[in-house]
Amino acid sequence: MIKPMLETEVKIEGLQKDIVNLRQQIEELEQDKIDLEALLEMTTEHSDSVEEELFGKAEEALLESERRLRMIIEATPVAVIVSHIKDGYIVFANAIAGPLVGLSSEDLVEHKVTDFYADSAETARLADLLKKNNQVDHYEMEILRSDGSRFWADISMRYLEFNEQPSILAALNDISHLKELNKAARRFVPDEYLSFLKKDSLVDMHLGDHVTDEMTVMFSDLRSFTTISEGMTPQQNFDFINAYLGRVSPTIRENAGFIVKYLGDGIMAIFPGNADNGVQAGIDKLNQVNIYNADRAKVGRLPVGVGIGVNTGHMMVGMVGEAGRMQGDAFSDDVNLTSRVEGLTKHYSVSFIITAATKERLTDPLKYNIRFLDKVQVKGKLKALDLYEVYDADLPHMRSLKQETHAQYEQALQHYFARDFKEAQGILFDVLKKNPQDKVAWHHLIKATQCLDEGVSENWAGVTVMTNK
Amino acid sequence: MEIVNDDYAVSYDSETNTIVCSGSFRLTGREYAAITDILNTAADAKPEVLNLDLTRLQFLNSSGINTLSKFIIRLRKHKASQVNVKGNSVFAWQNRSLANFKKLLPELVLEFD
Repeated sequence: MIKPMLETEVKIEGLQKDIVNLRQQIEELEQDKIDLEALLEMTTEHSDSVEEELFGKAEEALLESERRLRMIIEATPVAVIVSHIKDGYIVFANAIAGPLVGLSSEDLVEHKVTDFYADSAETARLADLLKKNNQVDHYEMEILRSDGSRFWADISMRYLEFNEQPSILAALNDISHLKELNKAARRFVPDEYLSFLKKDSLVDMHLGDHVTDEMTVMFSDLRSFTTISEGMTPQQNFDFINAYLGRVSPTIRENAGFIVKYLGDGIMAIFPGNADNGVQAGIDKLNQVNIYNADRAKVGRLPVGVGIGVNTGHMMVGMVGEAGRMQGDAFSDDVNLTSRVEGLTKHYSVSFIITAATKERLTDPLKYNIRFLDKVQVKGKLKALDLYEVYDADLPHMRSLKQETHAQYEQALQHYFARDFKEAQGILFDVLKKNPQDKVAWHHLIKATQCLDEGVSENWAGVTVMTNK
Repeated sequence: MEIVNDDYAVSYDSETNTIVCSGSFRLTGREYAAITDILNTAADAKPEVLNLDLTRLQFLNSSGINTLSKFIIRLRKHKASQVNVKGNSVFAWQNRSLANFKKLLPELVLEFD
């Protein structure tokens, strides 16, 4: 019996140990459970506080970056304006945007962008451009200030989402000074000259740029300017020249020509189109001089005389000088010749001479009052030139007398060149009886008489040889 | 023993019995293994006093707090060391999360700069 008892005791003892062990394990597991719960709780709490901290920091950073961005936009020396697309109202304007149109930037926000468009048609034009290109770059337009004055602005536009609304961001710069400068530059190099040289802008003009073609060139000069200018102060001199040039210069532009340069009181002009332009410009110019002289007479001033020479031929028109200082010019033998022809107006006491080259190219020479002047060999030229006088702009009385004697006059010259000096003399006498003021007729009469008195050589061709310029 | 990185550093000085954690702990669970090694080495040395200096620990992610918490539990189980934790109140998260260490080891001494 003892043995089984002992076995039972041992078993109980073992079970008791197991129970203690299990209890201990349960305790440990419970502690582990508590620890795990605590760990979970701690980790969650830690995550929360870190998240919160980060969120706060992010918000702060966002605010800071917004503040910085605003600072940059406010300080940007370009006017920046944001407007909503739906109604055009300005919703943001930086510090310099307001003053640009004479308002504070706060007041600007109560306006529509279109309130500042000088030309209301620009609204549609800009909208089209924006739609087409998705942006607008350096568009030049006039902007209205709040006081009604205007200025030129260079505008660039971009689409932008602002306050969750489709908007347009516009940046604008006042370029009035640039426009003024361009306007000023155009007075020195006119647009016609630029387009003639196929240039878009003055910036593209370079030394040696030129166009070679057949063109009509005009030289004109004031007669007896030295006499008139004597006794004038320098200021009066300038005023006189500018008054004169101011009256006659537009006639060049009006006849599709442009002034290449002023030569003191003289003008050198080119007509790239047909020869008619040059002739018509000469007539218009002399008519302007007539009006000017009538005005001068009213205040007791002496009339001014003008000599014009027009010729047609090949020439180069372009830029000469050096890189730092250039001007437009034209050259060729024909250009030099024209200057001589203009000089001959003094010799023949006429106001307007054209060469045969010009006359032949006129679409309708009969439209004008043109008569043969002379065969002339100018200095430095071997070939004789046929020159013609255009008397459309002679005073009415003189013009009608010249018209009246036109046929006779030309008949006389035919006799003259046919060496029939006697006949020529007789007809010229008749012409001068009707028009004693016809200085050209006098000129020819004297020559015919001379030829008659002195006789002529075998190879005489009636050419007047000019020995001085 | 120490780990030095661009972002963070952990060191254990067995003479002063001080662990210093600094920088930003932004590692994944597995990457914390190296740090855990250092912490366990310190805990298992069972020094009388163990100092945990967190005054330059700017940031600690969730895996990080987990790693540190398990280290505190290990120390509690060893029942061998007096644990002193030094925090920095400038880093807001430390104020709440370090206080929670006391839940795991009530005898822990927490001190803020």
